Amino acid sequence: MVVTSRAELSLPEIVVRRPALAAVFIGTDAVLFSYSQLLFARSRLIGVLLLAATFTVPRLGLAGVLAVCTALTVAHVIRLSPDLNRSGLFGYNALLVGLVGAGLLEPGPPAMALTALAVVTTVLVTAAAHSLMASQLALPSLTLPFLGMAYLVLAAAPGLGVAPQPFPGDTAALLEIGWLETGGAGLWLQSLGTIFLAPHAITGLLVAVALVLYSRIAAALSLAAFVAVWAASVGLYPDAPPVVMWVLVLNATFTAVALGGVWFVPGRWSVLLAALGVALTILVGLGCLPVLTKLGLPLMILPFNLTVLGLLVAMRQRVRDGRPKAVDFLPGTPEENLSHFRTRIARFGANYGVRLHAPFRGRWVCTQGVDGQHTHRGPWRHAADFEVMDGDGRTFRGPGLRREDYFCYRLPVLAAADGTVVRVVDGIPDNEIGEAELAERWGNLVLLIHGPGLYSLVAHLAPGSIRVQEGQVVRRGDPLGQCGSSGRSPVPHLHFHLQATPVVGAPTIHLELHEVIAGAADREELHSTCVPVQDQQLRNVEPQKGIANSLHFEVGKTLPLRVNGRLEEITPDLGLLGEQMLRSSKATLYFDHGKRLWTVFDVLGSRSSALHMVRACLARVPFESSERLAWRDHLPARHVFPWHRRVFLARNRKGNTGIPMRYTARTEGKRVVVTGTSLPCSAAGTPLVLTKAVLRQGKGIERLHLTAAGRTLEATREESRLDR
Amino acid sequence: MNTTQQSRPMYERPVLVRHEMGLMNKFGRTQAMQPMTHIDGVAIDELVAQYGSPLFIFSERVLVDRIREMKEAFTRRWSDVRLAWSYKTNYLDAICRIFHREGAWGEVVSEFEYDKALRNGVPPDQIHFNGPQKTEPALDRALTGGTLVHIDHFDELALAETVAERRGIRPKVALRLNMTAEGAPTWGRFGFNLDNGQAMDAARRLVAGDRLELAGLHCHLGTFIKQTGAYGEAAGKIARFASELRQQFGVVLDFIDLGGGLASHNTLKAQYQPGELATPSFDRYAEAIAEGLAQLDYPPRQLPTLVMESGRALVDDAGTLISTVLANKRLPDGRRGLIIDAGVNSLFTAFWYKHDLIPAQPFTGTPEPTVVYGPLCMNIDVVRDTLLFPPMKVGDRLAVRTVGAYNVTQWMQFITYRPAVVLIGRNGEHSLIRRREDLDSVVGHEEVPSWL
Repeated sequence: MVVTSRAELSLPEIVVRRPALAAVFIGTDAVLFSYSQLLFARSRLIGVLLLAATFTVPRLGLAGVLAVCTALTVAHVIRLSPDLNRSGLFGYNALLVGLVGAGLLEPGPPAMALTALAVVTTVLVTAAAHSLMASQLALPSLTLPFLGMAYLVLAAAPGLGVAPQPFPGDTAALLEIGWLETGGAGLWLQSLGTIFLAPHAITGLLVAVALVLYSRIAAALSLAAFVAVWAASVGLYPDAPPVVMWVLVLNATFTAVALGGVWFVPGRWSVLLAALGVALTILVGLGCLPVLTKLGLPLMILPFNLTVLGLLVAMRQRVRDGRPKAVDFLPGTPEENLSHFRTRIARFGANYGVRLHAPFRGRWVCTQGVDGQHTHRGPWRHAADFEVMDGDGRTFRGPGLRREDYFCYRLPVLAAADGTVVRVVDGIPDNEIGEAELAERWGNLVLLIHGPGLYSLVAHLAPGSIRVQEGQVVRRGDPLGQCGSSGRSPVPHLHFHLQATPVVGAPTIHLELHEVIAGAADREELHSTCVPVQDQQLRNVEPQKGIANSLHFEVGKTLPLRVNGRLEEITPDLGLLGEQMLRSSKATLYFDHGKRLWTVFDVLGSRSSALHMVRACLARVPFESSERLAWRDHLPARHVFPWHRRVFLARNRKGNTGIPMRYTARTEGKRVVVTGTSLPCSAAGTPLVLTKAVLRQGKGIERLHLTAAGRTLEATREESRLDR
Repeated sequence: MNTTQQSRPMYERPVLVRHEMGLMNKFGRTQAMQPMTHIDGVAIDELVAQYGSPLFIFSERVLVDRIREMKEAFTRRWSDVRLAWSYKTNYLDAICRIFHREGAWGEVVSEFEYDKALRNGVPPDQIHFNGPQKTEPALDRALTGGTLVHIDHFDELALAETVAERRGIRPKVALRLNMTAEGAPTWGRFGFNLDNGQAMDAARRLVAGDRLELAGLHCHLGTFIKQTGAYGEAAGKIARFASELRQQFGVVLDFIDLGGGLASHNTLKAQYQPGELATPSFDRYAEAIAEGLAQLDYPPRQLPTLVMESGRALVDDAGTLISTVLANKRLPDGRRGLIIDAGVNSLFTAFWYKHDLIPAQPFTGTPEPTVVYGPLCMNIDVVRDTLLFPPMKVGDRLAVRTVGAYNVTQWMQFITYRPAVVLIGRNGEHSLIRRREDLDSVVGHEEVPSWL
């Protein structure tokens, strides 16, 4: 089933010389994806397996292929989105309708005519349902178009003189595997076969193989759901007819996979949700069964659709997304979802959608962190105090008896992120050293709102220094005032915290800063997310124009990269929503070129693309280079290793977040050289992965080197086409 | 001093001590002198044994500490700060490369320095080009390479326009300004005067010519200025001028360059307090400049980059000159004379500083007023005019501290050879960065006419 409306983004591009050949490839893809979509997958191999599964009952198989081809042709002729058509969206609903026509109607020309009409209509209904649900409600349409058409056909058939057939009817399989038709395994396989109205072990076996190939997590979820339903039925519903059991197990299986790994990141909580979903599916199934029986309609896949849609909508009502975490990115297999989410946490780790920078210029030191020993307690525990320290570790010069002796006194205090000023307090005098004003304990302050439920406060500012007014819109880095010593502040310092409401003195919420550089002068590390701790020295990235423009890609200006003799033309592009991309004929790389950092998000597409080298060599680059500044990142193994090595790595690496890397950058004249080393090393002590990128100011990428598992890849920019 | 030496009493030369010097005053008493035997953990004896005497020694640790301290002090107060290394202060490749590694651009005042900067890997568009002498070929190279030329006079403005027209480019340039600021000398000879309207004339002329893009303003108040208020005043004047340019011509500047002239921890001859007490910290300078620049009437996100071209304040502290005692003598006025092997030919700054001299080995004996002479057969060769110094033996060494600025550029090959220069790395290694001169380095450029 098509998982989101953005599914078309991840379709592999096909490059062949002859347009006719391309049409054949795209057509084949569309057919195979129509089958594989039934398992939430977009894979030719799975498509082939499922296609084979339908042909275990040749009559059904033939009907299915005919239905898919008809649907694809109709969609093509009436000019529905070619990408959606190729993704299999129109195909899979029509496939199921075709199967119902062939399996549940008395065979004959009227039935065929009725089915053909239904298949064509399904395409239109699918297009409408997809548009309504994906674009308007951001919900998947699942198999609702199929269900609607199938019920319509089955209800209308008697009136048109076509007698409905009872399920399973005379759909004998080509091959009966007697010993697999009995017991628990038999029940499970037959249930899986029921998706194609062919409750046979051989059909189910092919589906099961496809399921395992698609995702081990999904296969495990499906098996667990089956065992749960079977065990429950033995105790509660011992005389359940096999047909009912097959349908219930099938619904339970799909619900478990959808909730446990496709729309939610696999984990403890998604499994709990899947268990709830399975129970609900059974309840919905048993509840609908009498009604539908009375209407003479089969249950089919209705409980799955109702349960999953209901729970998706319900889970979206949560105040905070988590437990389980919804898949809010481009979904893939449960394994990919898990890896993507964990990599995202490891790389970005942010709790808030707003990037908060340090509210000061230059290097300051945190003198009291979260749960600090003085005042960061109780409701105000998530806060940080900052001062300025000299090379000897002192925060003041001379005896430190005057406010002016403190290095931080009267330094500018900045907005941590874009926002609006909601509260300004000014006019409270600065204290003498050692004194504290307890009535107005926050002193002079500025409170900003950055987003719903996210406010930041800077306090103890110098009186008369505040340069903003309530209601004023400020941008990140705009000066708000100057560091002072007003309120409960015995020495000049800056107090910074986040809170959820616009009330001064409200409880604080989790504190974090983003894209800050921590550490002393000789060893600095860039943190994508950082909770300040006491004695930690922090500063923002101080961008250098040269580095920023060495990573500037002019939209439409092609970058020809030669890797191992093959030329790959990479073209920068902008998406509709402002996504920055590098596209080639093989893959697409998503990146962000911000004010202070360059970040690569992900690469989608063929594994042979040089864009994976860009991802590995330039995962993240602050626009500041010095040998003392390093940063860490995580490199998913798929960017650098062939699949057999990845299996080995995945087993060795807990958490599946990829390979931890450490990067540094240095400037050599007009060139910027970014080097990366993996932290884990091989037994011989050499790093698993080594990367090196040579960039040229104003020109972009010159060379990329990637050494992984003893193999070195080198990508070089074609000089002759440099300035075309 | 080790114990075996202590067990045998040492002979101490009898001296007469006059009691008027080094008395307690309101700033405290003369500091007890400690010998300086090591620099960054490396024994001075070892260095002299390897590289000879006299010897200039630079500490990479101090260089790096100073530039970082300066960068941080300014960065805390201004949104975008650039340091440009003043080549004339010390253009030894190794020294320049340390500063460039720390992110500094280059500031040059001649085509020779320009070539030196390029040789050190500085991209041409990361160089500020100052000075009253820029020949047409030099201007042509600089303007086509994207170097930021600071225009000094109207003739240069016309020449730059000619070059730009011929090349078909519209290069970014800056105007050099001069002005009065309390606490700084009035250097009227460089740039256009701001106070009498000449600067506005130049800007109007530049904008009307439309061959050059006005990208920056530059001023350099003077040298060794200890009054931070002078910088504040200059920054304020430039900020008001820049705001006026924006209002009149819509010119939005890329940078404002406050030049250099920040004092090091040296002590001028006319100065009463020693430099270590009197010299303001980078924080003080930065505070004054940021306060002045706050008068800039610019949108907050279009603020120009603040450029500083400090030389002396960054490099002076890192240099030490080691010299060997050649002789002691008693002068007719009763003072002791000390003759050492480094004179004003190597230590050019002795002309204007009261240099800080310390013995480079443990010493005993009572300090007495001493005049330190160099080895030249010239009356002007005085390294230090009367200081309280302990007795020294022939062959003893002394260290002249804070000599990193201007000496290894203004030194003369006069009577003797120029000494070697050594760098002590932050890793504790040391390495020669300029060889001691020999006869070949002097006669290499000489020619003897055929008839001789």
